[in-house]
Amino acid sequence: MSRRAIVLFAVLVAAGIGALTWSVGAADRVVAYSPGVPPSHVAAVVPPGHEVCQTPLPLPAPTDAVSLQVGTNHRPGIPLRVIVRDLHGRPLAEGGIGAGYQDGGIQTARFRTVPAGSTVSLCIRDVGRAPVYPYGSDSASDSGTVQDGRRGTVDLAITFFRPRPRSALSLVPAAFRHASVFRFDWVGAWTYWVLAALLVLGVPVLCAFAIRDAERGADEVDRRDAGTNATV
Amino acid sequence: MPRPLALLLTAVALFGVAWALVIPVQQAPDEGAHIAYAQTVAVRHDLPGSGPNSASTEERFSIATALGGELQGNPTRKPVWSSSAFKRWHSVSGRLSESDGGGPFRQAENPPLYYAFESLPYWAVGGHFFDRVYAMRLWSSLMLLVTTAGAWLLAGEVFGRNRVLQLGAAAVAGLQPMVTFISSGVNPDSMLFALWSISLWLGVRILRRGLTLRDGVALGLVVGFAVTEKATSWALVPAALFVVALAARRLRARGVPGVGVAVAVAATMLAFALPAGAWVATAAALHRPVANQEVDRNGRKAPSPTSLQTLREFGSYVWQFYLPRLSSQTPFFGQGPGGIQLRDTWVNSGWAAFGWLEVRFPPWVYRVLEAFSVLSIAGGIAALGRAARYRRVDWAAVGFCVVAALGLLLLLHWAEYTIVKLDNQAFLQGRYILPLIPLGGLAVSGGISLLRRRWQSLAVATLMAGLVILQLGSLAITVDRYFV
Repeated sequence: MSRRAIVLFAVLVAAGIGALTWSVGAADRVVAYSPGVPPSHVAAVVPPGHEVCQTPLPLPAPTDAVSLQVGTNHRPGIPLRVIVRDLHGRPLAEGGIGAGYQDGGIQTARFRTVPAGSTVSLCIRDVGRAPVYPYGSDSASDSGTVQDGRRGTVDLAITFFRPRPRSALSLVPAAFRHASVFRFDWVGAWTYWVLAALLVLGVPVLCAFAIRDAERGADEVDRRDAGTNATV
Repeated sequence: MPRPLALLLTAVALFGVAWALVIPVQQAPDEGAHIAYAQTVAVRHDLPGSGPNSASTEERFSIATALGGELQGNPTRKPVWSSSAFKRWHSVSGRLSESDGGGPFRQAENPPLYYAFESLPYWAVGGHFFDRVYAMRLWSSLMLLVTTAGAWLLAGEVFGRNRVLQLGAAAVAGLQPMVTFISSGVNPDSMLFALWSISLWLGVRILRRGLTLRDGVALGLVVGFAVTEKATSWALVPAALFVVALAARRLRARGVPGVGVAVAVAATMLAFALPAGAWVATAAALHRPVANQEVDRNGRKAPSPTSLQTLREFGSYVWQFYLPRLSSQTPFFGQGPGGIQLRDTWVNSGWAAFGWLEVRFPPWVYRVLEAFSVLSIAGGIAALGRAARYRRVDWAAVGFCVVAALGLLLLLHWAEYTIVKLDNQAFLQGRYILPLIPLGGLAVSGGISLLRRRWQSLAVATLMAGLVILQLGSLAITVDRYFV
């Protein structure tokens, strides 16, 4: 009997781990970085010819596009330049959003790929003839807006995208590297690989032995009970 | 120790370590406040309330640097996890004050036992802030083993030495993902689960085997320590009194002399009074509340249980928590059409809502967990019914478990009702009923006990496979939330 229980357990765990692995492998991750600012309200008023920048923004992954939500006060969409700069103000990449988009809609600007590891500013320049109103909120972020040399407390709601979607499974090594930061000094990505191996292989083995031994114990109690005609 | 329990405890410990190391700092419920409390005890040798800041400069700066801003309520935000930022933090961390916390915050009213327990690894490990936080987490996760062992022992009292059913009950307590998640953070609920697990076992043991001096003292001590650990545990006191009163009556009925009964009862009471009384006296001397108190605020008065109108409204709220609202009832804050919180709060967030409740599975997983929960409770009741038919139920033990469960629910609902009346804010989360997880384990194993003997181990194998996969899935969505 214990063999049947262990086989059933092993089959179910293997199927479960297979299904989990498949779902993680099938899940595409398109976001390179987002400061996580919800677009709750208008975060800045950008007059024609002016720009507002969100800075600093660390990019943990390469990016070639950014989305933002822009209000136009009931006017047809006003053209914008979206510029990615380094922290010295030098442009790294540049893209545009054409005129005519919907007021308050989410717009995406594409640009040349900016590599991972850069810390950048994202600037939105109004190249039309009426003000634009990028959305954002006063989020407790480690980044802020700068407009005409003045720092603001409100943050822009922006999301950077990867050049190509990556499966969540392919990002596991990076995830384990990230998980090892701000931990014990001795913790590294290796710690999570070891833990993952112990959880995926070691725990099922421990549980299988526990089931086997429990069943043996129950059999012994059954035999003893049968001998003494005891009831539980 | 029985081998199946030892093997299960090893598996549970591995999950505990994994959760402790995976969750970023402050991403377990209220962890920042609990760290601040433990640091106050360890460094200032004081209880929080009178210090200059709610948390020390070291804690505030370290957490802000690690997370790069607030993650709570913002599921799209992920920290950058830059190793260069960690090195920069490391270079200044030695100059950050760890003793300028100790100020007031909501959890500062908690009793001190858990935080004293956590101050041990804080002292022993030393090192930088994250060394101490993760050491406290790993230390806290040891409580998970006590919770699991308590469920095993409780099942042993109920089902006898049926290792398969004991394993099933203990696996539910030890591998339920919210229990592991909470127990592996810096959170007094980890010790709360453990103390309730042992209390439930001791209560049932005394009722099944009779009150002895040893068991009575053990129960008194555990319940006494429980009320010095978290005020929620006052809900255990009526259940413990129920046990002592009934056990004493049974001793008298068996002809034990009155003096012997009185000694056993007095020893139990004294064992309770030692830790509980010490805390009550300390709190009085320090002008602190013994239990967390909700005071009048926002221009509103805290509801009083002596008002008939309040009790009527409280009853209506509890009804709407569990059942659809009747046409005669006034809608109560946060209850919608009624009956939704039973599922959303107790079942869904009681099973799997990690981080600040935002790390969740897709909805279909919760439908499965709901079905499993209903099946488990139905199975437990059916097992009880069958045992009653064969006159094998100790109704006193059942009564004890019911009094403990109802006591907890009553206390939690009164707390939420009070907070809603004062702040218009929901309070309850699924994790609050997890002190009853050993009873959940009993219900599951009770249902399994209805099967023929040869099917029982197959059912426990299926149960454990499901729990292991649920644990792995829970860790996967947590890693995805914070690090991918």
